[in-house]
Amino acid sequence: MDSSSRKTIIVAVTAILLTAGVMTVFGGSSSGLGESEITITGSTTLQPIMVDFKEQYEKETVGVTLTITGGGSGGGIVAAGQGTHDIGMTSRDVRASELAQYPDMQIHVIGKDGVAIIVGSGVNTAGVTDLTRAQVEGIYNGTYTNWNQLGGPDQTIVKYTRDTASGTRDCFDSTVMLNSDISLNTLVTASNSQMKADVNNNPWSIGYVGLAFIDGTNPIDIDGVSPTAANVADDSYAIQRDLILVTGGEPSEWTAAFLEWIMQPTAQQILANKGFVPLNA
Amino acid sequence: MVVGKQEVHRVKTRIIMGRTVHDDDLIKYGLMAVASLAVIIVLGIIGFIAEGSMTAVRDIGLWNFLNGDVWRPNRELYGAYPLIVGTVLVTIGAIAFALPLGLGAAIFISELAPKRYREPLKLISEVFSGIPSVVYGFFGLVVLVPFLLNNVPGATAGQSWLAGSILLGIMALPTIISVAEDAISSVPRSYREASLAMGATRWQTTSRVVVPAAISGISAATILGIGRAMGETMAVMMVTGNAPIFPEPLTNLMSPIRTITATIAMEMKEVAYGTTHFSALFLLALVLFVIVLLVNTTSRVIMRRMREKFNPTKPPKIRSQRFMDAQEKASRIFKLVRYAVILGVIWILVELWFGADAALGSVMVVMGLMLVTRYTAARWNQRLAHGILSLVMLVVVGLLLVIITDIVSNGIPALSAEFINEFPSQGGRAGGIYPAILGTLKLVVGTIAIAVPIGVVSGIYLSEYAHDTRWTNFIRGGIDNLAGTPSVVFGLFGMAAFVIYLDFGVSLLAGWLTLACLILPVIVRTTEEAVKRVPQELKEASLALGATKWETITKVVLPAAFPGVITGTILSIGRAAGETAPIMFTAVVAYQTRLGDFSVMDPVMALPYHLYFLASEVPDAYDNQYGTALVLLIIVLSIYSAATFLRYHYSKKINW
Repeated sequence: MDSSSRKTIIVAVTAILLTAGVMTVFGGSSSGLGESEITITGSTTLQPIMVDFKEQYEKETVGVTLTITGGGSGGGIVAAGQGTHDIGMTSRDVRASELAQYPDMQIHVIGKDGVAIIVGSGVNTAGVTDLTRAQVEGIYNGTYTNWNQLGGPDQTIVKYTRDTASGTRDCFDSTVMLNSDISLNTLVTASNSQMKADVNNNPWSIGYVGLAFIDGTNPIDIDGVSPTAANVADDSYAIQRDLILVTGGEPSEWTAAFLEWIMQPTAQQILANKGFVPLNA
Repeated sequence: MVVGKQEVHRVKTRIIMGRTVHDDDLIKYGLMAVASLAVIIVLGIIGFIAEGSMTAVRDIGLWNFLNGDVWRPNRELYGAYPLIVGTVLVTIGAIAFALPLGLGAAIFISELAPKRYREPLKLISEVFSGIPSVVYGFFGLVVLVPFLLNNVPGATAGQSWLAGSILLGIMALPTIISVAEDAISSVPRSYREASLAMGATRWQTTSRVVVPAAISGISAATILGIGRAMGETMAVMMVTGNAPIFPEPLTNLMSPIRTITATIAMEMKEVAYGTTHFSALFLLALVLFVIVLLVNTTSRVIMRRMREKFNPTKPPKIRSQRFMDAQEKASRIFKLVRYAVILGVIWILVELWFGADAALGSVMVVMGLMLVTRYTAARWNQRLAHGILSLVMLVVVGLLLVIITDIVSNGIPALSAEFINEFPSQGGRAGGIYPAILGTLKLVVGTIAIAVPIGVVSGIYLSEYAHDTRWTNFIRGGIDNLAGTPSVVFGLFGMAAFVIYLDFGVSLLAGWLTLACLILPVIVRTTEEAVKRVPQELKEASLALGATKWETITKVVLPAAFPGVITGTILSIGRAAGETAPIMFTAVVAYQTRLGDFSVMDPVMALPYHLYFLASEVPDAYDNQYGTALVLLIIVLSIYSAATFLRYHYSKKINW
């Protein structure tokens, strides 16, 4: 390397570092769009809906920008509670401990979601298409290990669950695993999409996904009721949960307007299009 | 640098505040300050993680945590023992898979391949490291897991220890090949010539002279590979089944298994801040830290022994006959252990597919071969060895082809002009990925601009100025440890240090700093290795001509080490562009439909996170998902080709 090119590199690097430094010092005050930016963080389940909301809302309301980041339900609740973000998203209920920590927190239910029990192709073809909640609990706590105990062929049951951090798992635990725990040898997958792939790839498997992911799977009826949006809306399908947004206290003018907009038919239709269940269906 | 002897060379001095100061000293302390940055980062990470672990230590108790058999956070049961065992088992499996392949390929590239195929083959192995871990994960999920389910007799599910080890092994391959190849090809030619002149065959030269002489670099490669395997998060999470249980029996490769990193990544995203569970995940990270530290320390001890043994400049120590006998015995035992491990791995693998009889048979055949080759002619052994090496190279290239074909054939349908230069719509199912491409480029450029100067300076300090003192060993240890720190921990550290503590918010700047910490050790290690390998004669010639030490470093050593530095940078660009976990909480937003003015305080979209987002949360985005993976691959490959061209250009200029 000759010395002139080395100097150029040194000068360039120094310049970049300096610029970065200067922008760090002065950047804080000039960034953002002032009051018209609404910051949202939290559950990755709610993120796709929020992203669609953003697209539509920014089109309708000039001068407002929604900034959406992931970080999980817990993170969303903390962010809203501490006021670092305007809105927190959570796909599980706000826990009592969290409410105690942030007593001013406001909870806004914006819709519902059902959790469908899905099975592999072999199970479906063999005609196991309807189980009771107690039977599903028995599969997951290890009471039933073979499909022939549930009217199917002689095949080992391969069961998939979500991680304990997931809102979908939270819903499954609180509505299906009423008296026991999911056994430890259950395979754990980290997202709805992956659960769908895992169960579809394994003919003798069972798993569960949010309603939005039900296309291309083999969902089964629970206690004779199919997992459909209509059945979730009228509460006849039991495995369901609320979709929740939280604010640290009384929302600001901009945030309140956005929260109000979510309850309007346009936004509720977006929610329905995503495979979730609107509140007034 | 000569240890223990005063170096004789010209010194420049200047007067500062009435005192005569050597320029070299100024430079030395300046460099040391920069090199210590790595230690500060390590201490920062440890301090932050230890602080976060305190609640768990108090609530659960360290012993209950380490020794507990049940990990069930929703029941307040935090037994980390199965997770620790899982991490260790997956890593052992990955190295058992990657080390023979990686070392074989490295030997093939530097010793067997015709000269004009060397650069292309190196490039091929580097392409591996450009594939983001999310893509590996999906490849594992879509191809590997079903393959195992359908082909391993009696398997009920494909998610398993074996799947995790194979995938992690593939991911550790580029690191191992790249660093090992550098080490092997930089063994002085005089060694080979001396060996060949004494009548040894090429294979005898390779196996008895070249590889032992390069053992320090090979160990470094292995450590870096282990670090990669242990620290990997996204891919391992997708294929191991994540059940927190012990394999039953312990050699059951088809058992599901759960690693520490997967647990952190899965549970951290939704856990309530400040709870015992939250803290327990930090404690897990701390445990992982300690494991990596143990691995590093052990390998460093082994490495130093090896280096002493094969150091040509040092006359062999005169030892008593008893000591020599003991050493002989130890090395024989070591050899036996090595054979036992190899045979054990063969047994386990063959038994899995073909049953115990076949396993016994194949172990007998291999043992027979080992015995027979002691008595067959050297050229037959060479033919056999070279055949095996070529086969290994074929397997490596084949693996890459399978993965690339999968990405390309599935990604092509999504690719179009609109896909590249439009904003996404319909939540990512339609439209383009323009802001994600731009965001990734911004992230990579800034990260490199920060990390490369710091890393190169630290590397120079460590190899040229630092004596083998406790402090420099501490710095080295710190850097190795940084290399083994899982990316998800960097993400947490970045979130706590830059996003919250320094109040940068989720921003480009926070992402740069986090990623810079992540790639720093790779750059430092490769720079150090490269500088160290510049022949002593070259430095001495420069000093003898009257150059100062600093002039020698900038005008002679650095240019000669430039190709090695470039290799380090290439490897880290691949990592910076493909990582998801470190930027998840520090730099990215899921979705942008317009871009404001450029500011380092604003978050960006990034290709790997967009891919993760599409893959895990958006149904029916299969095409765009593979399209995004393909674009990411193309970007990384273009950076690689540019860098490879540079390296080739420079290595042609320097010849010794």
